[in-house]
Amino acid sequence: MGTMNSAAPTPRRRRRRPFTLIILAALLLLKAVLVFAVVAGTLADETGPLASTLRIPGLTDQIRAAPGAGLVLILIAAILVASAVGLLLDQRAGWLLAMVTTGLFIAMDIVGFFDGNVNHLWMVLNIVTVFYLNQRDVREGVAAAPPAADAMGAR
Amino acid sequence: MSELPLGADGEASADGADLETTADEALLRRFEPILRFTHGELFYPMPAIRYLEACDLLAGSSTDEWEVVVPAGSLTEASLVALGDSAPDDVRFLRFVQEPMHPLDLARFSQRPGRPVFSAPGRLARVGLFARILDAGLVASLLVRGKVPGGTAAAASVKYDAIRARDSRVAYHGRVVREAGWTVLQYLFFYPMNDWRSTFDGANDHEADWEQAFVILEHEPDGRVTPAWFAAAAHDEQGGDIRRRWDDPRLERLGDHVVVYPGAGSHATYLERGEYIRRLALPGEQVVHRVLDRARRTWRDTLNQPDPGDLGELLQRLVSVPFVDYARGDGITVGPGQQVQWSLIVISDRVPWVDGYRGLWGLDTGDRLAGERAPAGPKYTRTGTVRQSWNDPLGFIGLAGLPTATETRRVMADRIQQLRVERAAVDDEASARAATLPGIGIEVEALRDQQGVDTYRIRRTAELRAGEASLAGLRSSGAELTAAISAAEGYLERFDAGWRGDPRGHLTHAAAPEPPPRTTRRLFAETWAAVSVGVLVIALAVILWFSLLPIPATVGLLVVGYLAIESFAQRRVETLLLRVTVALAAISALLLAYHYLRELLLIGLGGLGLFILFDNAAELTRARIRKAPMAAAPVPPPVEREADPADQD
Repeated sequence: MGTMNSAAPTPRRRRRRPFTLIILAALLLLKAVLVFAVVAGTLADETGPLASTLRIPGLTDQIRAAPGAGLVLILIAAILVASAVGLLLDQRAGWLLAMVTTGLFIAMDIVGFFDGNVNHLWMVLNIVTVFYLNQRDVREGVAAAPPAADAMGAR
Repeated sequence: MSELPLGADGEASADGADLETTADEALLRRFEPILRFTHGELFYPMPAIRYLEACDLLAGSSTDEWEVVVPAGSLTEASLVALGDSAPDDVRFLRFVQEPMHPLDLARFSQRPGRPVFSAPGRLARVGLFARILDAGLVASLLVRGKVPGGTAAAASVKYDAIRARDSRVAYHGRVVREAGWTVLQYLFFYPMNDWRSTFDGANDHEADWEQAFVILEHEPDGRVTPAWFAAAAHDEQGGDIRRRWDDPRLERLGDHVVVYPGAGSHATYLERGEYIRRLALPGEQVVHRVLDRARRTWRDTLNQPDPGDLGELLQRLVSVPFVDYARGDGITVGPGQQVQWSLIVISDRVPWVDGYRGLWGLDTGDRLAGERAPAGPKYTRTGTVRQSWNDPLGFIGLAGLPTATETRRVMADRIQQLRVERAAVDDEASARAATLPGIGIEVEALRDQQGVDTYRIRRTAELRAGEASLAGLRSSGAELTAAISAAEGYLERFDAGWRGDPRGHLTHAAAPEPPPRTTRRLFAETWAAVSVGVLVIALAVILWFSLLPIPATVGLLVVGYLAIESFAQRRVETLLLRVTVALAAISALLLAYHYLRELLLIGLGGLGLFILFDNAAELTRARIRKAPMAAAPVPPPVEREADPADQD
């Protein structure tokens, strides 16, 4: 006897992606582009206003002295792209990757700030990234935090 | 009246007692609590007189200079009382253990066959590093404070077992107090030893331990008694938080018998099964709580960040001393219909050992924090004053301000009448004041243009202002009294309909058991918790002594290292990483703000200026738009309506 299968399969309801998550992904992609640009600006050794804005002074010297550093920067840009894609696919790993890399960036920013080798635009971007990484709907979206109703002391 | 003589079966008998005593005994029996002990408990409630007979009595000028007044074996209730009170500055105390157990014997004792085995997850692993440092400080303080010598609890256990071999009763001491329409049944449990520290890693040890519970009854008009409240005190707590209404859904009862859970070793009486962590009260805690609450709201509601939870509670948890009271209820149960039955010993002010001895009931160690000093008897405090729980049990449990249910209606009706009288008086005074003010006001108006009466006018003006303030105050009081009367009438109405309010509404900080401890990486977490503080101190000493690193780097390294290990032990690496990243972002933002302070100020002021400009311009535009249609539009027919305050602009 065959099984009765009268009920049509319910289409899986797709959860609406939080807007803050899209902003976060865009921020990460922008940072990846900037890192690429920094590498490109450094290797081209341009002196235009855009290149000098994007260039991190100390890093520029280091890349000039050690060309391998450029490859590391390209790898970082790739990680940023990967974390942005991961976030857009609601992957928790993407959120974790973004959090760890941003934490490292900020630590380097602080050290660079006291050494005078820091790009302030880059610092602002990192701060804003952390702000969005810690947003409630972003964390809930990638299951990095329990839903607000279950959270301790939820409103 | 002395203690009731014991019957052959160990039960108390009311030999020669009057009818009231018999009735009291029946009431005590009817509502006697059930005590569920924790597995591993060594001491159970016993007749105080048996303990007394096994003690010697010591007296002297201080806890260091004393002599044995009555040796063990010779002390009786009569001889104890006959010696009278000690001089005001002298000490007098009983001593249950004359010779603490030798370390070798103690090792054998702790490995004796058939011993009750107690197992618990490490208490230190339940709390943070700071609490462990506090704990280490408290443990170290025992070196300079007076403390119960090692081996005392074991010797007490052996002695207690010997007493039980002769008299196996598990007993409570009962007392009945009638006051303000209530009947208070006071159940006092006497244990020969509090071995919380030595057996269960708790805060303290001391000889002799008095614990108590209360059942509060009220008399119905038909003569029946109805239980209304139950109270049990843990660790000298008092007030409304130790009291539960009889219909509280979380109050565990078997018929008329409330089930309570004594803490292992401490015997603190808890109303819910579980494990309790003792917490220290912080100075200025409420201020800190308010600040942290505001920070939490800003973080959560304004910045839309995840709710960090109750930060005040978190801070309190951080600095709580990690002493766990285990009230598991998995051991022997004593009470009606249980494994062990109660024996009742009725006590009162007429019992000589209750009334006639104000000294301590066990070794006086002279501990300045008092945790390791024995308590006095059921009636007295250590200073010889009468305990509030004895002379004012209703006040002790925070019930002095509440009438019985049968009295509530009359008391509330009386109160409403009082409030009405008070409001009438306030209204009268306000009317009289209102009648005089216009006269003064118009006089002040008249004096305004009069030359040469400045001083008089100033005085009258001050009088007018004071009168206006007074009138405003009176009217405000009148409004408050009206609201109070309305609330009282509403309460009475609901009360008459059978409503009795939230049974837990009076509780503010009721003791609640801790959630079960996390068991992940337990071995690592417990080992780390046990060694962390010691390793921290040694590492700090080595690094500083050999000048391996500058002090800030040393502190930073240790903090980061400890945070990493702690978070690994508690499986919270991700949380730690996130918190570190957020903290770094905050530091980064502050650095940028400092660097661009002038620009930020400029932007801020510019923004404020623009906002004011736009706001004023918008108001101007709105005013013009309003005027234009009024000039052009035909006049609408008049419509009767209430005056709109907005139209008055």
